Amino acid sequence: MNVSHIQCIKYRCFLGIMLLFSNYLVGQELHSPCSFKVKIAVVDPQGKPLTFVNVGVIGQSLGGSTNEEGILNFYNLCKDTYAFQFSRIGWEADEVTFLIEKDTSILMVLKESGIMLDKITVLGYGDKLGKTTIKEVLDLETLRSNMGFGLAESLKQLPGVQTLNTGASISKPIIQGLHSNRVLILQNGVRQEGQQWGSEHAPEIDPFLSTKIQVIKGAGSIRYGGDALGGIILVEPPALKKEEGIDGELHLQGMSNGQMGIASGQLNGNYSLGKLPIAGRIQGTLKNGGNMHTPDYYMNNTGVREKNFSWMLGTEKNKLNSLIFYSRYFSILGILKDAHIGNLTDLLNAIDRGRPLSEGSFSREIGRPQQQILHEFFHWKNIIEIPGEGHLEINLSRQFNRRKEFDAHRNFGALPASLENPNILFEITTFRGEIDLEHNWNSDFHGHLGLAVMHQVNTTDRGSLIPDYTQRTGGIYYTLKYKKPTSLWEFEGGIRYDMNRLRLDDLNPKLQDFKQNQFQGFSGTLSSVFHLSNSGFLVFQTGSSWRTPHVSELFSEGVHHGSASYEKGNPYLNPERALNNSVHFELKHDKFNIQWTAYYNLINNYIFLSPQKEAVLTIRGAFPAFNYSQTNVSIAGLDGNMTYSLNNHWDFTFQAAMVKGRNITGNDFLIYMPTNKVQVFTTYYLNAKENTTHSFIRTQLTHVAKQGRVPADFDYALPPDGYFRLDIEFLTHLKTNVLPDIEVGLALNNATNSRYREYLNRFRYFIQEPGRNLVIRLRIPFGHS
Amino acid sequence: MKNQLFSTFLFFAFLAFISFSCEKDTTGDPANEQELITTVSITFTPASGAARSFKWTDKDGAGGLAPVIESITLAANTSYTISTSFLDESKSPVVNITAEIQDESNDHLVCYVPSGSAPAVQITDTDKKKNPLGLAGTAKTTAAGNGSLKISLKHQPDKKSTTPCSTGETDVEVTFPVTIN
Repeated sequence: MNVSHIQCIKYRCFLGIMLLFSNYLVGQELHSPCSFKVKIAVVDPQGKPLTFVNVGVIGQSLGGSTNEEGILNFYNLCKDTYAFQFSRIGWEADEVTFLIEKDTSILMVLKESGIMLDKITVLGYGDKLGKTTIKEVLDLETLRSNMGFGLAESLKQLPGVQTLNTGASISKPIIQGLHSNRVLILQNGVRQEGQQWGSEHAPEIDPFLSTKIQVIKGAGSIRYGGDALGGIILVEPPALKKEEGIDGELHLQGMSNGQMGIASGQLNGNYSLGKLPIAGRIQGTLKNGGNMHTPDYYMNNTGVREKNFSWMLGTEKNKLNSLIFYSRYFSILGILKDAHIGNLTDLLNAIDRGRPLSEGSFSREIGRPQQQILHEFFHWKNIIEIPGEGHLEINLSRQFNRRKEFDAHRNFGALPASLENPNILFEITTFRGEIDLEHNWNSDFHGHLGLAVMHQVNTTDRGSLIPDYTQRTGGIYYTLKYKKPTSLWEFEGGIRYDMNRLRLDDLNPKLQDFKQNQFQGFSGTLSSVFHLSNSGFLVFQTGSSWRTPHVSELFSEGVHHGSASYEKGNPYLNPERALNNSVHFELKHDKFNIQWTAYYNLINNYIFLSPQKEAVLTIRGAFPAFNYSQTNVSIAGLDGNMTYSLNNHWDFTFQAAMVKGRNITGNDFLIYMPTNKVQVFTTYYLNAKENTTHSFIRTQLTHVAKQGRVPADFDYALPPDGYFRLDIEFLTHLKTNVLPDIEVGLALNNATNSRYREYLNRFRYFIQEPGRNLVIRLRIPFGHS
Repeated sequence: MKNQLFSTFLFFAFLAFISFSCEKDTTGDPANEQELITTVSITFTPASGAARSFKWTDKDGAGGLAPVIESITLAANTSYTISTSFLDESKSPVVNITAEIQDESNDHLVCYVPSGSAPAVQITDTDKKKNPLGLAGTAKTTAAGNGSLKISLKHQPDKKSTTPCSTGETDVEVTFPVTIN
């Protein structure tokens, strides 16, 4: 056995894909350069030979199908690295790379894609994203070490994702310079519907329920909606337990900054009810944190509470897979007291001061202002196997979101001491139904036909920031993929039509002319993959998507106290239309792992807040006025990741991201675009990194430049200076006699306690970013897993 | 077998039911309205002669109709005593909020910033801790001319600060034009 084979095995096992192989030395006699024979045998997990498996060599016009004994021979191969691709309808496609330097036999085990409960992997095979979709996956280890900080902060570890923050507790993801309604978040394959329009409205998802988070960049997948101008985030819970029995895991975390404590646990079971196997999971998270501090002072009223709960239940009978998923997210978020200001003078005073008036102190109490957010999610997923074609997937879901905001702000009079009556209350209920039908024209062309409908009711009580409304949407799409094992090219295209009916249920006389609104349009994508060599490929993607203006952009009106501005909607806004173009390059070769994405997106009728010359005069003073307006913009960027593995012990990673947003019509920059960012990770593995119970020490050095690309006269303060930040992480596994290994993590975030401000934090006017934070975490698995 | 499928279905239906029944839309309660300041009234009383009041009024709140601002007209070289009051004229009868400010005097401060020919205001009243409050004061005009007077009401200012008027949350900030004849 040669070394490259051994590495391959471990790599595969680590990914959890079953692959066995054996290698017989057929002969050691001298060969001419192109005379090697490779015998491939394909079997199922029970060892039975698999016939008619298509085997191709990427980048070469070699290929064929296995015979009745599951065997296919290749002759006259040269000394080179070959990437073999295996595919068969109803079986999970797989790929394996070998260095051929002698006659070789390969035994490949393929897994049936329809094995019981395998299908109840969250996304299902239907959405198994191919190479035609430009995506990034947060690896499990990174996810686990960051999930205590919330969904957006976990995603920030990916080079293409940045965050828009409101203080230290509210964070939302930015993809390709866009956020909020321009980024879709899917939980278990269904679109999350909350109050995602607000820049201080964080996604209502518990990262602890997930083991896989992916980001699709740009308009790569129209299946989930034609309005993902920036990208899509897929949050996937792990698959249910396959074998009978019970197992689970417990996460315990403590953080020094804010004295935060987190406990999260889950229990998985599988049980046969007669001949009907039932698998289930219950999961919950509790989080409690107090006031956080910067290197110089405490930030008053920045505590956080979370109580999350979810369960999942699935079964399979004959050709039907059924899965029910329920999750309930509840959080209380304190908002920095010093950020609550009465008018522009107060804001300018605060900027002038550059820090809170008082030193602050530690407290777990969360007073006003605060947010209380509840998100309930119920989802019933059914997958029906259609022999020879693929699968039919039916998703039904109901979501309910209640957002209560308690202001410290009042017109006059003492603040109510109780937190019973919020100053503003949004409630939104969404029903969604989705059908996706997979079918195969032949072995090379695979299609998906889908239909999605939604009914949504939103009410706003106490405070009329946005009107009550009912929204009905319908969409239909078709995607077609061409993939042939012997071809250098893969193609995927899709087209989608969406219609959106928006009815205002508000009695406000000003809105009566705009009671009925209707929007419709097409979106589409075209993507092609070119295999450069055995281990690298290029993706060219172009797509057009569009987005209906949100009710807040159409009809909101009032003072936005967080930013001391008077914001006014515009009922005559047109939908935004984007043209996304991306090139993606990926190379996995020996010691290098490289991924780069370059994009150039044009958005027509981009909706933004445009500053007005005339301020709005109120008894609190003059407020700068902003109207929702439209313009044509371009957003171009480059992000990537390069890892070099020196040996079993040292890994070096370089990540960088750059975005440039231009207002083409106004010939100016766009506000709140992410700043240039560079990160260098150095990892030293104490034992070999292929060891599943490895230990490592990692340092992460981040440099964020000063944002120089800002529009003229738009902001109250200049962008903050660039900064360096150092994070150190240690991870190890403790052996126990009774339980599986316990994962122990220790991290020191902002290790040098450096003072800095972040351009994309809306509270940078008032405070610095948090100071040093020591994180201790344990992951204790139990049961036979 | 059919029975089993059926009981499974019932089980799922039950779970669905308990999930749906957890949270419902609450019906819209009337807004918990707080008092609104619509009007700032400042009264100048000379040592001899009639007192004169000037008002800054925005009855429909932020946005909508523009505020109505009266111009303060004072005589040159004259000493005045000043009293300032805050009203909610959107209600009927009109609510006088000045008394509440008196009650919570420790938490409030009225600040006066003159410019041009407008006279400086000396605060003469104090809160319960003997710190300045600002509902009453004196001013002495000098030569004739034009200017403006900015009046602001601060909530929870730091009265020990060297610049107390740049602390706290601003409840009111209005600017009157001033003419000295």
